[in-house]
Amino acid sequence: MPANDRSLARLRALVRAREHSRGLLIAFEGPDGAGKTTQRKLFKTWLKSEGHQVVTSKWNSSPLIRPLIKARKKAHALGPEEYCLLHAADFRHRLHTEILPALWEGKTVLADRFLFTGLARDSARGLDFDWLLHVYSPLFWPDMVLYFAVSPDTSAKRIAADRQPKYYEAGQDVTGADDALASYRQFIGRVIHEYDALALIFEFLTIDAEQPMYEQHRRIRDAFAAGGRRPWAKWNLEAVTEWIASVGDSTHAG
Amino acid sequence: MPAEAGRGRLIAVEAARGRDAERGAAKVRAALRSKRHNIRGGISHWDASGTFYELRLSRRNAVVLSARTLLLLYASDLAFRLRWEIRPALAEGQIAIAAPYIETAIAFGEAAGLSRKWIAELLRFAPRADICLHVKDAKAGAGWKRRPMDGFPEFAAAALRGKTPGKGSPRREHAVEALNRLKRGSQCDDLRQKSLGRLLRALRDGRPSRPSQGR
Repeated sequence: MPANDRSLARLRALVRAREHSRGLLIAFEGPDGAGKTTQRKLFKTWLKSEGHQVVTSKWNSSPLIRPLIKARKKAHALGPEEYCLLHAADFRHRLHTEILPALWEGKTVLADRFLFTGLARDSARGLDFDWLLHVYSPLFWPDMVLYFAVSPDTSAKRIAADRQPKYYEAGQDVTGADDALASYRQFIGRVIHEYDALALIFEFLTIDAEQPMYEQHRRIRDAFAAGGRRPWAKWNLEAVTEWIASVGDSTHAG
Repeated sequence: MPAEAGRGRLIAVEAARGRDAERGAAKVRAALRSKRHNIRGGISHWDASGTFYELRLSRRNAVVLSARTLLLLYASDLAFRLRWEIRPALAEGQIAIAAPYIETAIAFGEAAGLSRKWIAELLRFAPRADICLHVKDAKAGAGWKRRPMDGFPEFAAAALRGKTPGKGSPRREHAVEALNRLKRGSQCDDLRQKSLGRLLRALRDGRPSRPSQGR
C-alpha cells in the first residue's frame, strides 16, 4: 500500500474509533428574529443540568477573522463575494479550532448558526448555489439542524421592536434601498425562501418559531432524546481527516 | 497610447516567491510604458484589501491558519482586487497586471495538500488572464524567507505552521514544481525579455494572445 494510502487509512481508522466517544453537534438555524439564541440558551442550561459538557460556537465569532469582517461591514466595503468568502473563512477557522476539537473531546457543541446561514444569505445575495456549496466544502454535517421557521413579517416585526437593522443584515448592499427596515422586509423574504429550500434538501428539523417558547423548547428536548446521529465515517470523513491532518501540521491549525 | 475603451487586457504574473512576482510585475509595467510600446498599465498587488496585513498586525507571529482558510482569505482578497482594481482598469481599456493571480494560489494550495479542482472552482469568479507570465524561481531548493508580508506564499507558509518552513521545505519545492508545470503545459510563458517583447507587440497590435491559464 503506498504511503499516502496508508496514512489515509490510518486517519479513517482514527475517525471510526472516535465515533462512540465524540460529542454531538446541534445547529440552530433560521432568520433573524426567530428566537434561535433564546432557545439555544434554554437548551444549553438544560443540557448542563443533565450533566453534559456544552460548548457554544456563534456565527462570525472567530477571534482572528471577526475583526476584519466587522471593520469592513462598518465601512460598507464588502461586495457579495468578499462577504461570502470572509464568512466562510471565519467558519472554517472556527470549525478547525473550536468545533472539531470540542467534539473530539466528547463535548456537545451548540452552533448558533452554521454554514447554512452562509448558504441562505449568500444565495439571497444572488451568488450561485453550486459555487457556495463548493466554498463551504468539504461540508461538515451537524448531527441535527434545528430550523426556527418564521414568516418575513414576524421576523421584521421582532427585529424592528428592538432596533434598526444593520446595513448588511438589512441587505441594503443588494436591495439598494435607503430605508433599512424596508430593505430588511424585502431581503429577509429572500433569505427565508432560501432557508425553506435548504430545510428540504438537508432535512432540517423544522420548529414553528411562532409557537410559545416552552413548546419549542419541549420539541428540541424530544428531538435530542430521539438521538439523531450522523456517523462521521459516512458523512464527515473528508472534513474530519483534513482537520486531523492539519493538527498534525500544527497543534493550533485553523 | 492607452488601449481602446473596453478593450483592456489582463496579464497575470505568477511566482513562487512574493518578491519575484513584484519584480516581474514591475518589469512588465516598465516594458509596457517604454517608448516602443507606450501602453498604460497598472499593477494589482497581493493583499490590496489589507486582509493579511491586518491579520498579522493583530497577532504578530501567532497567526496560525489551515490551508483551506488561507485560500478562502486569498480568494476574498482577490475578489477585492477584481472589484476595485482589475475590472475598473479593464473597463477603461487599460492593461491590468495581476501579481500574483490565480496560478500562484493553486500552486501553493496543491503543495499544501488541497485539490487543484477545489481551488480552481473557488477562484472561478476571476476572469481568465489574457497572458500568463511565470517568473522562474532562481532558488528552487531554498526555503521561504521569514518575511510573511513579502507575498502570499511566504505568509501562507508561515501561517500553516506558525513559523516559516526552512530550507528544503517540501511545500516550497511542490509549489515551484506546480508553477513549472504551467510552463511545460504552455499555459504560462517564462517572463523573459524576448517573450515579453513578443507578447507586448501582440497586445499593441490587438492580435489575440494565445489562451492561458487552463483551469
